[in-house]
Amino acid sequence: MTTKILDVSGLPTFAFGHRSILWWATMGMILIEGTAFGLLGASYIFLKWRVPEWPPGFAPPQLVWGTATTLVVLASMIPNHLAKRAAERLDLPRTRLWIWISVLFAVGFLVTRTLEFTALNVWYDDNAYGSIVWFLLGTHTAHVVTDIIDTAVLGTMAIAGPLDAGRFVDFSENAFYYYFVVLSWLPIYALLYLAPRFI
Amino acid sequence: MSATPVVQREITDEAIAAERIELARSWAQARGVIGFLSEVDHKRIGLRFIITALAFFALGGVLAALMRIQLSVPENAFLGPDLYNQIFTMHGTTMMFLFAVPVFEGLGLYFVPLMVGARTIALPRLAAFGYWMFLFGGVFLYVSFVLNIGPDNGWFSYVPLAGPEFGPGKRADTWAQLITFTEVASLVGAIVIIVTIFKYRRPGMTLDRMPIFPWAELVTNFMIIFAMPAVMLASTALILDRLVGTHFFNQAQGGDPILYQHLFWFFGHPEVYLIFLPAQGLMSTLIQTFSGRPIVGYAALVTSLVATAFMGFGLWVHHMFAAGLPEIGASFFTAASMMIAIPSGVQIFCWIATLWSGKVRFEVPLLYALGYFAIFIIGGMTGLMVASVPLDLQVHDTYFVVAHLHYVLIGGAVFPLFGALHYWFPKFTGRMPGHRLGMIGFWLMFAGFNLTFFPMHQLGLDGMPRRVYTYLPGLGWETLNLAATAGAVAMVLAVVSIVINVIVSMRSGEVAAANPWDASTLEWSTSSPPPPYNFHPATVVASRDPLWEDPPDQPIIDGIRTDRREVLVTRLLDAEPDHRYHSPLPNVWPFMTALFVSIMLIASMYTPWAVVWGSIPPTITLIAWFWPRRKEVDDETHPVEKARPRLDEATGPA
Amino acid sequence: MLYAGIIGTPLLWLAAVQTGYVLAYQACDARSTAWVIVPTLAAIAMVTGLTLIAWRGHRRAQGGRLPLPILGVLAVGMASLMVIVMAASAIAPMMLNPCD
Repeated sequence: MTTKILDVSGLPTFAFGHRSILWWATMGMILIEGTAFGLLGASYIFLKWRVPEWPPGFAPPQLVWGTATTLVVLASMIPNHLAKRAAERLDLPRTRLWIWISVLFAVGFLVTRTLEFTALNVWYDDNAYGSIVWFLLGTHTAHVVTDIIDTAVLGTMAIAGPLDAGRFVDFSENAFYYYFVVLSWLPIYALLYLAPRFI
Repeated sequence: MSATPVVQREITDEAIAAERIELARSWAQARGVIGFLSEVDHKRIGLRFIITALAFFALGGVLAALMRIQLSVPENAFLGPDLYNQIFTMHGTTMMFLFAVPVFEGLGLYFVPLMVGARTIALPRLAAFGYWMFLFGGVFLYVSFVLNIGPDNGWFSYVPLAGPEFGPGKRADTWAQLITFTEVASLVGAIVIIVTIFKYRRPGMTLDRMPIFPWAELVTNFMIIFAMPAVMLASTALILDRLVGTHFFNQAQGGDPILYQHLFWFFGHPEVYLIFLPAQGLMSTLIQTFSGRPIVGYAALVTSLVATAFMGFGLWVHHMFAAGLPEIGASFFTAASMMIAIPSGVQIFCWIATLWSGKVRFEVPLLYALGYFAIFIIGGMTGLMVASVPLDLQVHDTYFVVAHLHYVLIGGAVFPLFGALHYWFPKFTGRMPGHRLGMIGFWLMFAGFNLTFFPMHQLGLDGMPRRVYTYLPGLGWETLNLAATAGAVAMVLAVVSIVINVIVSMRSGEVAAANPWDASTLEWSTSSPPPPYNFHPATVVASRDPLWEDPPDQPIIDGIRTDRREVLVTRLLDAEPDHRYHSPLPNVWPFMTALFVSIMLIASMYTPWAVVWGSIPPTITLIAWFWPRRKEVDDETHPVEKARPRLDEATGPA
Repeated sequence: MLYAGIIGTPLLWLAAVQTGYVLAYQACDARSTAWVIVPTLAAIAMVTGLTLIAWRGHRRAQGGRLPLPILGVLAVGMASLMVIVMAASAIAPMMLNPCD
């Protein structure tokens, strides 16, 4: 007997951006971690709010390394964006190139971040201010480290692994997640470096 | 988007049978020990969640029974104060973190794909990872309890009692790490369920036509995403204060215990709703089926779910009314706590209207739903009472609150859950649950519950505080406490009769047809229990109640490959076909990752450096998890040059 | 426009609750509940505005220009509920003393 058929065999086996499963999974992670950063920031403000002087008993963190980090991190969005664009064109050589350049930038980011920790002017066990500063910076650093490992693994995959279109969706989503790592830094920078000076 | 034409074509029964054989091979569930640990079938993962959570429910119940024995008479010496502290903490922690949240996560993993007509869940390995984290966390808690390092500061583990100064030893650390285990499990499960609902719905199932239970799961899992990070922060900051000497909650060094309360209850109040909302979805499901008519007020029910979820985030301070906050600030939370009765009320009226205008069949699952009405409404009423600051201050930390919260959580979540487990029993097992034992179980449960918890209202008003291990004679509390203990015995008997019913029905119950209750949703369109690939052939959905209202000549969906685990990804709002996708194969690495993460978390209670060296093994297993295997490579786009002609279809808005 | 109702109104309400909670301390310092009442009334006005936007969106959706009527119902239902909730939260500050 003949029946009505919805024939989907002509559809592609991959899609980029919000059409893909992975984009939504990444979005879920971003929402979770964004909430965590938001609550950490709120905790910072809560602790600030209950004492008359801020930072209590310590000089604010030195601007130099924090600002250097911010500049490196903003610059790193460029190779990251180029990697994303190359992946979405299935352009393997460029994808490889820009992924690895992104990794280099992220490593540079990690170097300035390490120096940042030395210039905070406070230890995590000095008082609650020190604790929240280290917690905020530490949590963000954990994201950077994770992202470097992710990106390096994907970069290795781009060279060694068996590649299908799905991998390129991975490359693209990895870059998308990196935007979050970068953009979440900006409010944290404002909170750690600018708020103690100007508010 | 590509054109997905509806065509007329001949399709023979033999062809479908052959495809089923091939699908069974492609989606075969794993075997052996490695297979068991590698499982990614959503039904098996879901069922593991459910069974494990019910096992923890039983353990939590045993702890509750021990408390009731201790409190049955004044000055009882059955449990000492230290053990009693551990037991009530373990009871609360178990019921909230190891039972209530995971069991609804499990139901979501099992039934959401079936109800939205999908082959499987999105990100199945992540779901498997979540299960193992949950299991290891629960085992860790109970092993710690046996080793006398079980938590003893109450399920919310308030500082300063749980802080470094007043909580020596490892007990509070155990609690804090358990939180990490269970929250990781819930958060990954939340992503899995949300993505499944957004992207795996059967063509034709627009958001407008999605059944209420998946709606409730969607809303709940969004709540998990926004609520759980708060408790992870709170517990992490707590453990940092205890182990490395930070001062988040140390008043003397500029910290603030109230910060802990805020973070905890920013999670803790939504927690109540994320237990309650899936149960609301179950209520709608049960009432629709056993009224034999489409649910009344579909849009109102969905709106109520979403509204409750949002409002759940604006109530948390009502748990802190006794903490000395300004009354004007508190009044906002009072207002919101009272107003949240509106969406709950709307749902209840929709259900009454459905029952009123339907042909009601008084099967056991419906009785549990009706039990909800009796119990939850009382809990809701006392909720309105304690929402008001003066009344709350009066009954704060008394048995009135214990009565209230059990009426809300057992009435609002456990009764619908038991109804739903009864309702879906044939789908899980292929056999019908016994009616007579089911009735006995229900009535024992209903009577026992009320006998246990109703007297607690009066005990609270009489001034009996919570969390005391004993009380003096002559305060007028003896009779009511004894009655409560008698009720607890009845509840234990109820659970025993339900377990016997499950065993007997699994062995000798009547064999279940695909749709034994004559329900309307898609999980009943496939065999009981469903095959590993869930559905074949699958038809396009045309209404909210496809099994009741869809015309018989709906188009069959064809063109999804059967020689591999291929699924159809659809668009978010209108569920139009978007692309085909290769679902991940079973893989042991999620299990290994969970194992190593668990080792790291437990070791970090003893040395903070464990976080550093302990994260190396999970990193390696994660790489192994994601590294593509030859057999998983998509032959339609490998080498990748083959994909280039399709690039336009794969980029840009669908 | 519908998202003004579905997401906008509850977020505005949550923001208003937070603001009111923080300003309660300020109200006590300044000995005036106006610190709480005025922002609350302003928030009610804003929520009402969003509700009207959602209503217009809903009417358009009914005209068939949007695929999913449920979103319209959701937007209007949510927005109207938030107006009620906001109005309820305005009552207590009008009756309490600033430092209660």
